[in-house]
Parts: sequence; structure tokens; C-alpha cells
Amino acid sequence: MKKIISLGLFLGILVGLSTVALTVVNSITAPVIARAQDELFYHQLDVAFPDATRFVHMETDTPHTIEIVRALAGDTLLGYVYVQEIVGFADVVRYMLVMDNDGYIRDFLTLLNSETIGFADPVRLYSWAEGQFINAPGDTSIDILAGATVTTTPIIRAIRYAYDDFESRR
Amino acid sequence: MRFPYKPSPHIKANVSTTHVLHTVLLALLFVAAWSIVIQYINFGADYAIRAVFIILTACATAFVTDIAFYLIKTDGVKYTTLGERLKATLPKAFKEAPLVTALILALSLPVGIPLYAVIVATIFAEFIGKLIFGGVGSNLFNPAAVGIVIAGLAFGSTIVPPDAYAGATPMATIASHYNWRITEAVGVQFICNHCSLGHIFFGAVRGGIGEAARPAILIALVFLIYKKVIDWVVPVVFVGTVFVATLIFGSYLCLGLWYPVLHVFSGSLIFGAVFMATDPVTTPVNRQGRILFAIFLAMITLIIRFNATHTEAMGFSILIMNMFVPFIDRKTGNITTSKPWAKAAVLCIAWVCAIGLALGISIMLG
Amino acid sequence: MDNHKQPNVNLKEVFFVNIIRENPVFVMLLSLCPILGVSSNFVNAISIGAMTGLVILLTNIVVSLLSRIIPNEVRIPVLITIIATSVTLMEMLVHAYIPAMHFALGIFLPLIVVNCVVFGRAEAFAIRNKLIPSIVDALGVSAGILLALGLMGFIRELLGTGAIDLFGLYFRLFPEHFAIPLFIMPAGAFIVLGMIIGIIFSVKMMKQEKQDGLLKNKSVTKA
Repeated sequence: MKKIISLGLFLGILVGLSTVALTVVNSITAPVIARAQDELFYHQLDVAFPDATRFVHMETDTPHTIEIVRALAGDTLLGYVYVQEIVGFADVVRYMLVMDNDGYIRDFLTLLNSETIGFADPVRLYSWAEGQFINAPGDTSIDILAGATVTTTPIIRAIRYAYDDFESRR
Repeated sequence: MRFPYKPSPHIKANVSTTHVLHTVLLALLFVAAWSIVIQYINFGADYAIRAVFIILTACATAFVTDIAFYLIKTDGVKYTTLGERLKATLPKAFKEAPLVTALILALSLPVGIPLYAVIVATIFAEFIGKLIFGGVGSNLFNPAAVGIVIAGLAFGSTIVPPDAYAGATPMATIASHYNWRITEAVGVQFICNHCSLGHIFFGAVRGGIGEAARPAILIALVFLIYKKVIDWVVPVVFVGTVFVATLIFGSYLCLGLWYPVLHVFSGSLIFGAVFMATDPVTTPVNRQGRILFAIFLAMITLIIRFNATHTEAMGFSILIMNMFVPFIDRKTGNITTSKPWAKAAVLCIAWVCAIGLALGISIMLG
Repeated sequence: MDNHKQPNVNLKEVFFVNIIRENPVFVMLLSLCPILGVSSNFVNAISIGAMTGLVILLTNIVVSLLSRIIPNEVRIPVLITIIATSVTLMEMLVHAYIPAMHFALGIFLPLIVVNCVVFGRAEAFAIRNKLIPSIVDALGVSAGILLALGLMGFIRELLGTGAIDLFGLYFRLFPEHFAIPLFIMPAGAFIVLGMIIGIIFSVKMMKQEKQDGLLKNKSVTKA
């Protein structure tokens, strides 16, 4: 009995120590990470619409879409950025779908992608996007990427939803 | 009746293996010649010459790989000069029947493949598929299938299809775009507008060089069965299972009888059935095992065809079934039963299960 | 605490045996997960090798210092807690301060927790040896892993793209057109690893046969 208590105590102290260490480091690094994510977000917005002067964020009910950003130059609408998030094979994949005023998809910018390298990593996804739907109307038929079915199927569905949403705003 | 039981891999007697391989080589040469002629008729002289080059390159590379392997593998015997060493390796290299592997591989490759891809794929097929395992008779995987899979995986993007294919190519589109779940309208449009079933049969569509020579393959099949070199059950059961399964699937999609015929005629189904699924080394030893092999080969081929975006399912399914061959051999090797209908019952149950699985998975995933 | 402390450990032996003769990857076949997953280019492979090495070093130091206090019954959970903590700490720091590496390595960074080499060195060596030998062992094992990963990454990237990409500096061997993308894919990882292990083992066997042959000759002449 005494043995169990002493062992339990030891484990408890060890876990407590490691929790303290993790908390300390987390409090140092979490703001840095969050700031980097924000910087990436705004950097990608600039890449999407270099001529835009302001961005208006909108909440939305569209499935798979976190938010929609309208890109405006003065008062003219340049296009929409759909910030979408899908559950891929490994983890969440978050990306920006850049659509211009005529419903053409102009770009596919990765925000968060931790998929397996060689299958659905950002480079491969981008070359798939380039071949399939970039600079094409939002309702083109898109083929899935061979070897990355689990990740690209929800992306295709999310793009459909985005285009339907765009059509409803026209 | 007792089935002889031996652990695999099976070391076959030298004479029978050589005889089998030589006969198969003859059949392959016939198919190769026919396919070159088909290429000439359909696409002109330069593609026929390309086909010839692909076949020659594959054969030469396979042969050189064998020689190189046996040059390096000394076996403890010391040779004084390089010439002597070379002479000693030649009979060993010939025994490996590199030409059979090379021809099967070359005939499965599309005519637009660059030559260095052929070389790399053949080296892989010969070295990793056959030599490393111990040479002919000891290999677990069909070496030509290994080469096909590597060519598809590594060089799929470098294939330049002939100009005559420009525009929607039926097989590739049906395979990747619709995953073979085509509606009546789409199917009729393809068959009427792009090509007829006869067109596909006689090889005017994209695919491997040898696949195009389907009449030649059927003639070769009859020839090989007549020479008692291959077991007729494997191609018949394989193609039959595919036919029945796609018939059921076709009626589920409300398509006519042409749908299973389309399936059977397209891709390297017939080529694989005749030359790859009947390879004596990598397929089960006894007839019951072979029937099971053919049934499940059909199941896997259909599952891959219906659900994966690869245009070519044959190479993958052959490799997957090769893995199960030792298991099948072990299980069917020492069956002694006085009730002959027991074996038949097992086969029927396996058949029904296979078709059910193939269709069930496809319907569920689609 | 009855962990046997081995006196007089030969430090040089400890270091060098882990690099070639008992290389954790090619001989012991441990830590295959990052090998097969991340070695598709040279920089990635070296990065994860360096990170794994850091984790092994940290774990060995902590375990060796605490080896007297750790009760034998809970040895394994304690080791796992220590390893998990150090990996998570390292991952958080990398995510914050070297985001490019985090982006490139993805999920393989936290997967170092289940890397057999880390646990193996802690369990087999650090818990029963003093601090300095444990550090040397950690450095040796890390060198071995870096060697293995570097070799795999080098071969795969060279054959798969025709060039080695060092942060923008390209050392090109042959034009991209002739590269074999198979080696970048996971299938190529298995093939390259199998080839390397095959070569190493056949060299070992040949050496063994030569030694046996010499011994046989010796005994013949004696008789």
C-alpha cells in the first residue's frame, strides 16, 4: 500500500513538473505562433489582391467556410476571398480561395496544411489546383488528385459551396 | 486424391520451366509483331517505329541487367579474365528468361513513353522483381507487373500520347472522370461518337502497345492452351468473373449488355489475363488455388477500377494477388477430401463473395 | 534503486559503435518512421535528424541525472513522460521560432515521441550510466541517425529531382526532365532503404565469410 502511494506520488510530482515546464514554454511561444498566423493571413490577402485598399470581413453560414473577405479598392469590389477549412487526411487544411468579380477562381493559397509530404502537401495541392481550377470559372468540373482522395474530395465540395455562395451574392 | 505439398517459392525442374518460358516467348513475339502492325495501321510509321524501339530497348536492358547482376555476383568462383567471366555469366543470364519479362513489360507500356523510362522500368522489373529474389522460379512478384507499376508511378506524367488521340480519349476519361460509373447517355455518346466497341477491340485507343493487339492475344491464348503451357481456367474464370460482376453493376446503373463488354475489352484486362495471371511461378500450384486466384484477382481489379483514379488497374491487382499466392498454396496444398462437391462449394462461395465485395464496396463508396 | 552502474565505460567505443557498426537505422532498423516519411529531400532529412538528435541528447541527460531516483516499477511511464515533455517543448519552440522547419516537417516533429531510438537509448543506456557516458552515447546515436538520414535524403533527392536543393542553392547532376519522381514518393523511400540495408548486410556477410575463411585456413595449416 505504501509502495503504491509513494509511486503515485512520484508520478504525480513528475507530471506536475512537466506540466509547469510545458505551460511556461507555451505561454512564451503561443503568442509568437498566433502572430505568425495572422501575418501569414494578411500576407496571403495581399498576394490575392495586391491592388486592394481595404478588406471587409464577413461571417457566413456557408459550409466549410470560416469567413469571407471582400476585397475593395476604394468603392469598387475587386473580388472575394473564401477562407475555407476542411478536414484532410492528417489534420485540418485551411486555405484561401480567391475569386474575382466574374466568378473565376484566381488563386489557391494555403494557410494551414500538415498533410503527408508527397501526397497532399502544399506544393502538390497547388500544382493540382493550377491544373484544375485556377483561372477557370468557379463551376468547372474538378478531378480529384490521384493519391490524395481524402483531402481533395472535401476541397472540391467546399469550392462548390463557395461558388454557390458567390452566385447568391451576385 | 492427394495434392503434393511443397513450401513456396517453388523450384521447378529446369526442363519444364524452360519449355514453358520458350513457348510463352513465342506467343509474346507473335503478339508484339501484330501490335506493331496495328500501330502502323492506326497511327502511322513513326509510332510503329517507336513501338519497335520500346520493345527492343526493354529486351536489351533486361538482358544487360541480368548479365551485370551475374557479373557482380561471384558465387565464390574465381575467373582470371573478364572475357571468361562474361562467358560464364551468359548461360545464367539466359536461364533467367529476361526476354519474357521484357516483352510483357514493353507490350503493356503506352507508345508515348520516353525511352529512358522504359530502361528504368525494365531495370527495376528485372532487378527488384526477379533477380533479388533469386531468379526465375523464386520470385514472389510478377516482374513485369513490378515494372508496369513503377512505370506508371514514376513516369505517368511524362507520357506523350500520339497526336491521333488528341481530344477526349475514351478509356482515360471514363476511368478517371467517371470511375466507370457512367450513365447510359454518356456511354452511348462515347461509343457512338468516339469509337465503337470494335474500335476498342482492334486497338485504336490509348493504352499499352500490346493491349491494342487483342485479336492476337486471343489467338495466343488458344495457342498456349493447346500447347498445355497455361491453365485455361485462370483466364476464363478471371474474365468471366469480371464480365458477370460488371453485368450486375451495369444493370444497377441501368446500362445494357455493352457495359460488361466494354469493361472486358478495355485496358490490359485480356493481356493481363493471358500473360500475367497465368505466369507459372507467381500463381498457385494447383487448379483450385488458381481458380481462387483468378476470382480474387477479378475482385481486386474491379475494386481498383471503380474506386481509384489510376487508369490501369491490372498491374496493381496482379501484385496484390501475388502476395497471397503462398497463402493460397498453403491452404489448398494438402486438401484431401472424398467429397468432390466440397471443393466446388468452396469455389462457389468464394465466387459469390468476391463479386459481392467488389460491387458492394463500389456501390458504397460511390 | 538497483540499476547497475557500469564502471569504466570506454567513451570512444560508446561513440563510434553507434555510427557504423550498430547504426540505429541501417543495422538495428529502428526509427524508420522519419526515415521513410521525411527523407524526400536532403534539408528536411537533416532537419529531422538534428531535431531527433536534440531530443535524444536532452532525454539522455535528464534520465541519467534522475536515474537514481526513478523507481524501477514505474520506469517506463516515467521515461515516456520525460520524452513526451521534451518533444513537446522542442516542437513548440520550433513552431514559434523556426516556422519554416515546422511547415516542412509537419506531423513528423511530434512523432519523435514514438521514435524507438529515443526510448531505446534512455532505457538501455542512460538509466544505468552516468552523465558523461550518456551524453557521449546520445551524440553517437545522433551522429548515426544523421548519417542515415543524410544518405537517404541525398540519394532520394538526387535521383528524384536531379539536384540537391540547399536553401536555394542548386547542385544539379542531371536535368530535371530525366529525374525519376518515384524516389520522392514513399515507394521510393522503401526501395532506397531496402537497397542500402541490403548493401550493408552483404558487405557485413562478405567480411564475415572472409574472416571465417581465414580462420579455416589457419586451422588447416596448423593441423
